[in-house]
Amino acid sequence: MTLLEIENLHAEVDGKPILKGIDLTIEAGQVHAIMGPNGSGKSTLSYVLAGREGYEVTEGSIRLNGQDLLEMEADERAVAGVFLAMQYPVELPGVTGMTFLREAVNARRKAVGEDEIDAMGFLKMVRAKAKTLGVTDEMLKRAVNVGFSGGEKKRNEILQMAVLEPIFCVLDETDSGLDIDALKIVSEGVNALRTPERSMLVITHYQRLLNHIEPDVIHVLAHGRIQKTGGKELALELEQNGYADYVEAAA
Amino acid sequence: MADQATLPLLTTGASIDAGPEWLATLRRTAVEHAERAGLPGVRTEAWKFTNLNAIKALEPVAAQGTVEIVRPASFAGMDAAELHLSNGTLTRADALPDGVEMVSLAGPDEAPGWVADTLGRIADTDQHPFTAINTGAFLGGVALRIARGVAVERPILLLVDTHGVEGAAVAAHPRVLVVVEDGASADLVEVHTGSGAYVNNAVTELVIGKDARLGHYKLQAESGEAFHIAMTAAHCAESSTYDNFALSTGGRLSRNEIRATLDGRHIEYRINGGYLACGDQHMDTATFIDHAKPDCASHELYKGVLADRAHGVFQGKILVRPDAQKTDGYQMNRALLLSRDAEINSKPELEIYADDVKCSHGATVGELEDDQLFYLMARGISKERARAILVAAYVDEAIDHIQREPIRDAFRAAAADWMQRHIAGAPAEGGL
Repeated sequence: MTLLEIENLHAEVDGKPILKGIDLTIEAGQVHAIMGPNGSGKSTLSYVLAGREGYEVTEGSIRLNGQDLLEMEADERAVAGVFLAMQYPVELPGVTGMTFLREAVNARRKAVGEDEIDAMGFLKMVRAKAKTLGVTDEMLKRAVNVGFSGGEKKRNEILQMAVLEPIFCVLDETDSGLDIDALKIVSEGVNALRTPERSMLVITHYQRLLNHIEPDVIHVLAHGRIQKTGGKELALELEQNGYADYVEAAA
Repeated sequence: MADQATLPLLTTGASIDAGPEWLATLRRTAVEHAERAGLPGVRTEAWKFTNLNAIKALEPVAAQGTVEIVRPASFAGMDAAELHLSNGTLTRADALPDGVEMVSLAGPDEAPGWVADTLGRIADTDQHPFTAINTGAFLGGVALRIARGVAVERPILLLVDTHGVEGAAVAAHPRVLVVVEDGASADLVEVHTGSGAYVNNAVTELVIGKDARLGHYKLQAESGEAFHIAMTAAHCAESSTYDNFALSTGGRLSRNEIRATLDGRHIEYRINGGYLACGDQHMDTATFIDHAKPDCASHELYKGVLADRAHGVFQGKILVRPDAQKTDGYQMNRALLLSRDAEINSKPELEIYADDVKCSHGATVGELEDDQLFYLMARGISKERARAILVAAYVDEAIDHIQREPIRDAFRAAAADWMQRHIAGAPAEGGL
């Protein structure tokens, strides 16, 4: 069953075209990886999927479970099951981790007509999930991402993903800023969330993340278009040759 | 005073010579100062951002009658001994904890020596015209003394309410004096409310003794037609702690001035606050910290939220005198503008005459951060709710500095109440 369908997607930022015709289909339960050189449009694609203001789609469509994502605001997309694990998780001074998670969960419940979540049950659930990701109680009591290390920020992203249980996850450069131990914890957290219903799009510059989160399909993005699609061997090929072929090809 | 006053605000209907001689002398000097100075104009540096023409145009009448004052809902859960000043008259005084002495300042024919020795000695009538007017015209108020070494656990909640009358502007001049003797400790919470159009010209004098601690917290939630002009003047002695916090949400035009002299070593002065304004409100905060002796620390953080066409003013001055070596001073005013028509004038000022000090100051003005809004929305939170969460968190950073938890909770609730009324999608009280 197809979960996500991107057709001929064009998008621009500040009037500058970045995505120039992307076609991508992800089946339910699949993990796709998008690799590409800097400036190829990887992060733009992640923001366009999440619905960030300022990223304007000029052509094409994105459907999630048949629903038109482009008709929705960022919050509506999240409620519909889209989750973007940010490359640079944002600091929220004055908003504790627990409050942030509770607000997010309740926003979702409100949207589908459910009552607010039971506070005690929620606390227990979050703590259990936090523990497996090495997110301490102390971190949950602190303001979101304020004073967190790079690894803590990324673990916190995956915790949000685990709590919110989205159906489609975009992981934008989740490996950036992680040492090997943190990379392991984060990858294990992501792998634990792989289910036959949930799909993921893993965006990365380097092959190393894909040793830990094994994708079903790999795409190479350059100059705003998918230049090549293949299996795991594609990542190894890129590791050896770099992106030079793609950078020059369309230049 | 009616026959002598040329300043309409001095009109009270009472005689300047009533009461004991020390008080009459104090009043005569104050009236002289008030009439010589008149109401300040924008060419006066201390008032350059706050135009008082609307007050000058009033023909105020003395406040008359009293009403029963009810605590704002946000303070309902706080355990406290209450004192009520309705139109400047003391209308209720709960039994105060042991070690606390209270004197009404309504025509004190026989005031104890500590009142006569202290009243009018901290707040300067020569430099501050509204203080002079209050001193010349106050008809009531309270003086409190916390006896040496006594730690008062239960906060004292002073509810000051002014009510206007149809077709006239009422003027009230409530006066408060608190003396915290050596080694004593207490918490005073002032809440200013009212209805209709009026001028509330309040003066609070504080004397904080050696090793003493005073928590002093003020909520200005006046009526939307009110003018609130307030002076807090504190004198702190060696090794004392003064924890001050002020939150302004009400009034058409308000000015909250807080002046403290740190007149001994090892004083810890905390002066934090917030101003939340919308509509056409004008809110002016002026603070002056006088580091007169060495080894003292002052910490000041103000957070402002300005919506619609609101105008905020922050003037903060730190003076470090030649003797005040090892001073540690921090001052920051941050304002959040929620609309293109909102405005802030921020004027931080350091004047340092000692050479071995650590002082920093700053001011920021900004809007809500796009990346923060997006982060919240990307987790399913609506834009409206996301904005409200961020505004509440912004203000909370200042409220967090209130040292006593039940009082902190009450101010948090008061801020949440303002958000609920003026920021769409705001979380309910205690929501953060």
